[in-house]
Amino acid sequence: MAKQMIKKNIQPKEGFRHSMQALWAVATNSYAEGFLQGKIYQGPLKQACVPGMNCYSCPGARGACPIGSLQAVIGNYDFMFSYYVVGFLIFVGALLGRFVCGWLCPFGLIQDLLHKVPFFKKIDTFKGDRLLRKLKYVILVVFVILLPLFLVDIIGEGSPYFCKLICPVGTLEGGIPLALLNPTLRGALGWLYAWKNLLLALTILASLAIYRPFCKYICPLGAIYSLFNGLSLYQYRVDENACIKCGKCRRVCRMQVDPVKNPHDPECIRCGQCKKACPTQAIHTGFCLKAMAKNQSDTKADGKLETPAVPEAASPASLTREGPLPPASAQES
Amino acid sequence: MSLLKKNNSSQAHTSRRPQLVSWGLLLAALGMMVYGATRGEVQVLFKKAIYICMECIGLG
Repeated sequence: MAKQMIKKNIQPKEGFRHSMQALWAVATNSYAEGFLQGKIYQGPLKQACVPGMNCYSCPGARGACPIGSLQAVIGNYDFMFSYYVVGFLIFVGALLGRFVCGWLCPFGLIQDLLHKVPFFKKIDTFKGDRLLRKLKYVILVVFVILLPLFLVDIIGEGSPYFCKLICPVGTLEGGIPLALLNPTLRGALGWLYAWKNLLLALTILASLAIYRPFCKYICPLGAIYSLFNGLSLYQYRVDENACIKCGKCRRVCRMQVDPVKNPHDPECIRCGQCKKACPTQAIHTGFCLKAMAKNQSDTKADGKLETPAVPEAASPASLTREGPLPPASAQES
Repeated sequence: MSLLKKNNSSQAHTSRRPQLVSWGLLLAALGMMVYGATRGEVQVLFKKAIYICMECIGLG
């Protein structure tokens, strides 16, 4: 518990980010009539996808889920590939990368809040964590692309197998509210509903212990956006002149990313915690950032280098280790 | 000083290349979205989105 308190104390405040996440979640799920009458929005905005995981069967949803939409068009016998949805995903990815995960995904917000709930054991990483992170790519290829394409019914239509068999977002945002509000639907509940609720319960439980387990291991949308972290216009960059290699950015990162080693890590959800934690403001974020060349920014007129002053916060011994830091698991023990 | 300038220009070139790729992807993506919309994909998506997705909510 003491270690958890120490860990919690090094995390910068996240109020602004959570406010933005909540604002976006409310804006994209603002169809209040749906919650009052147990129905879903059928207006023209549903022709557009929202950037995050947001089931279009949520009573409040104003837009379409990109993963559900992708499966719908891939599974349609007329098309089998969706230029519209894939183009949308490439557009958002090339613009923002996984910034969507950190700031614009309602289910990401839910996991963030769940992880704040005190739990007897918080797990940063475990044996097999890195390998398990590849699972989301397998889920993307198998359940989102291949199964809707090839496992078709008698008229050649594929089902959205990821939504049907795995996605807990649809259960939480659509299944539970609609079952509560709509007696007709309540009468049709069966084994699939029980299975989806079991997966949702496991996701909620896992979120108490592990930070964003759905994003790390399951989410096919995060898998897609992760491919763009190195290519997006919105970028993270580390100023090597200002960086004092204290390791604080790596320690506060709950996705186990080392921004100094790789600021474009596919696992980075661009929450900004590392930037806030950095004692020398060495981490920069923004659109179309110029590369931070070593020895670029602090050259005096006579050509001699001027090292940046280290602020007071960086002086404690724990922040100024020389040499490589011990692995996170050793630090936890 | 000339070595620093050389490093800076090579770094600037390196940073320009990913930005060109990003802009290229954005333009290609817009083109894909327009093409997909013209061939009728939006109607399929819309039809799926405006009716309760039974698979999504766990009713099969």
